[in-house]
Amino acid sequence: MLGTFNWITIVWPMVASACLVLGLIHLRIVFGDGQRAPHLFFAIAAFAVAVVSGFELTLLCTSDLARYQEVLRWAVVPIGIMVAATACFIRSFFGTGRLWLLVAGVALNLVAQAANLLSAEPVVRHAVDLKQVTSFGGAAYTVPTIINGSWERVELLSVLLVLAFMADASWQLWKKGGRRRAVVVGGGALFFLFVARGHAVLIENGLLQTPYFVSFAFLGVICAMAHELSSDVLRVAMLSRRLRESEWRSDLAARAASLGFWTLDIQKDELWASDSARALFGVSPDERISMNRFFELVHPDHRDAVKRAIENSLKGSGEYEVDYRVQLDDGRIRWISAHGRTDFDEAGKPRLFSGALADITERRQSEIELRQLRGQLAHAGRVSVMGQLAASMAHELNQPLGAILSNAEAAELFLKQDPPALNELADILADIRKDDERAGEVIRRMRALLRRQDMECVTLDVNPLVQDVFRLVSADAALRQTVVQLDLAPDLPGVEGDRIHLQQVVLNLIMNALEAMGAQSAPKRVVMVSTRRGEDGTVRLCVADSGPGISEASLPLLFDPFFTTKPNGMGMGLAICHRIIEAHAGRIRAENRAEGGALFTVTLPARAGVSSG
Amino acid sequence: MSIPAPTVYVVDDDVSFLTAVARLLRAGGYAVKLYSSADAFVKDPPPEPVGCVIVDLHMPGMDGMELQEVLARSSSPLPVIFLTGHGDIATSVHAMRKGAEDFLTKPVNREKLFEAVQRALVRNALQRAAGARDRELRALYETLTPREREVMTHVVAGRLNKQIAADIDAAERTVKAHRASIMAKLRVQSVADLVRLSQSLGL
Repeated sequence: MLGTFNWITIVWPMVASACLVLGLIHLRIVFGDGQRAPHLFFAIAAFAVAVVSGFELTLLCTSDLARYQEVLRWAVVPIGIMVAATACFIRSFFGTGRLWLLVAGVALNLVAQAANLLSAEPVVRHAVDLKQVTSFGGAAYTVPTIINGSWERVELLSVLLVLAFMADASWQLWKKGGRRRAVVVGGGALFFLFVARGHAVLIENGLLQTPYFVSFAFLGVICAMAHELSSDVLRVAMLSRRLRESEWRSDLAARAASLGFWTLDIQKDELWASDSARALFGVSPDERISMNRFFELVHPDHRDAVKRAIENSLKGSGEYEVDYRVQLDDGRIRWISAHGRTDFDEAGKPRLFSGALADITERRQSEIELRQLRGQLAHAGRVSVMGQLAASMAHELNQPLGAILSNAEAAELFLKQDPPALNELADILADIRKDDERAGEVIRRMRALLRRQDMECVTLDVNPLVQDVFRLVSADAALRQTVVQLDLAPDLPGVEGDRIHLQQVVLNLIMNALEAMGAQSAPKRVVMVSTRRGEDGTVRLCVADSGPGISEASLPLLFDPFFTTKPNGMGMGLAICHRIIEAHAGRIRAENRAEGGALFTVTLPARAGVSSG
Repeated sequence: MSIPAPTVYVVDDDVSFLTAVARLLRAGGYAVKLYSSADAFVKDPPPEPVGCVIVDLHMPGMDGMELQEVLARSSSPLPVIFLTGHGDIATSVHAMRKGAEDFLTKPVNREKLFEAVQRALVRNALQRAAGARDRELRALYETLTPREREVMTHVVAGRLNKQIAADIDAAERTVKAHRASIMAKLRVQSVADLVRLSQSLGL
């Protein structure tokens, strides 16, 4: 019988092989990536259907009762697996359905099968008689007369429970909006399971004399499941195409903005970087990059900062933002701005750490250049003010130099006397030393203001700073027959700032005041420099003069570059002052005093808790 | 009356420079007196104008220029040497025009300083000598009677005795007598000497 070809011996193996193929395909997906569980259950169900199909073919072709009994007894196993796998598939694919129904159905089925296999006689169902039937096309097959065992009802109940679970899962999915899937998969499974079981019952009770087609019915279930699963696969394919397009677009954007991308898979410890990111670091596209290699490329000055930023991001904040220099292998330096974030899994553990890199070398360069330019401008302003002081500087220097020369020449004369007037020499040498130090001090003050160009912030006291400037200008003020008065508050808090730049501001304001009073008669020429503690945590510095004041028209333009009221002024002095004070987060203001003359007020934020005493 | 030794008066607000210059001048053999400001000098002027003044141009209070003006108003001004930390051309020209002996800038070397001081002292001595001769002549002139002084102006103007007699309404002989008396009192031998003397007296 088995050796003859008829539609039965052709169709059942076809069902089996179709299921095997589908099962293999999805098993491949299981070992790939993505949502694994539904594919696994699907594959198990498909293989089980293939096996069931084989069992059915054997049953159809067997005329030996004992053999029939044996096959029928073992057929329960793949059928049970098939039903359980289908139910599990639905559970994992839908994410709905009452779990206890599923567990109860599958467990009962297991119990029934175990009982059937372990007892000496089949307890679920067994054939008591076989008869041969010939169907159309001359295909002969065996039809059994079945007697249900004592456990048959348990098995039936398990199937009903599984049916109930499937109905419940489908209904819930329907309610949640997944209607098509609920109908196709859930409805299909329900229908075909119902048909398969119902049909078997009809045959076994002798009401129908057709071949078993449980596997046929389940092929329907498998097809319904495969359809839905493949629609997922199709969607994945579509998504991957879109992803490719989007990657292509972002790559385009990245190239345009010279951005690089990177992703660190923390659990796998894999660092991926786009070609443009690799180019930024001067790493070839096929070199494997590790975190160590990355840190090696980061400039030593920035390594700690970058490490800290990464740790902060991984440990909680998620955000990552840091600028650092990269030391390329060919010795070049590149400035990188990195922005990224950490993606955490449900347990709050960091999963992916990814972000973008931008080459900001040019921006940094121009920032540095701008800062240098500003420094140079401020420096030029200082040089120009110092130029105004040159005459009095010369006077101040010539004073000690003249004394030194005279002392030295006097010493020569004393030595030539007979006997040499040695007693004078000690005094002379002491005086020479003193004057030399004095000249040195003048030069130091001058150099201190002319030397540095860039800004360097420290905590400093305003009063000594004002006194230094006062010493610098006092000779000039004397030449101009102007009195400079200091009125310094004793309990000033310190400020955060650059000494030279702040001195430049004070110097500029005093020099302006001195110049403003050129036309005034001598006794009226007074510049008052005062410092005060502001109520709002500030330090105030005022420079007031007794000159003609500032015209109303000039007041709003005073701090603009190239605005000047002096015949040969550059108009940069106050503009530079303004910029310096702004850089110190302070304010500078000009006004006219009620009693005549101009008043300039500089307000600087005080550094909390520091007092100049 | 004994004439005191020439003294160099140094006025500078910079004490250290003042000491150094004083030392140098003393080593060079000069008598030195120091003032730390122009006001101090004006308050306590030298008893006799014998010597010279070295003064800083820029000082608080009265400056060097003002001191020069004060000195110039006195009957026998002391020569002034300016010594300054920095001098521009305009100031030095102004000072020299006002009669400054020299205008030196600090630091100044010994030769230049001594040379300037020496020149100033010589000028002071000459001035003083000229002043003494002047005073002597004036004393002689003081001995003339009003009539003689009147006659003298006519003589110096080159008029003849006869013309003078007509002018002052006196006898020619009387004019002659006056003339002889004038020549004797002023100790001159000729009319030419008398004319020179009258010029130096500023008549």
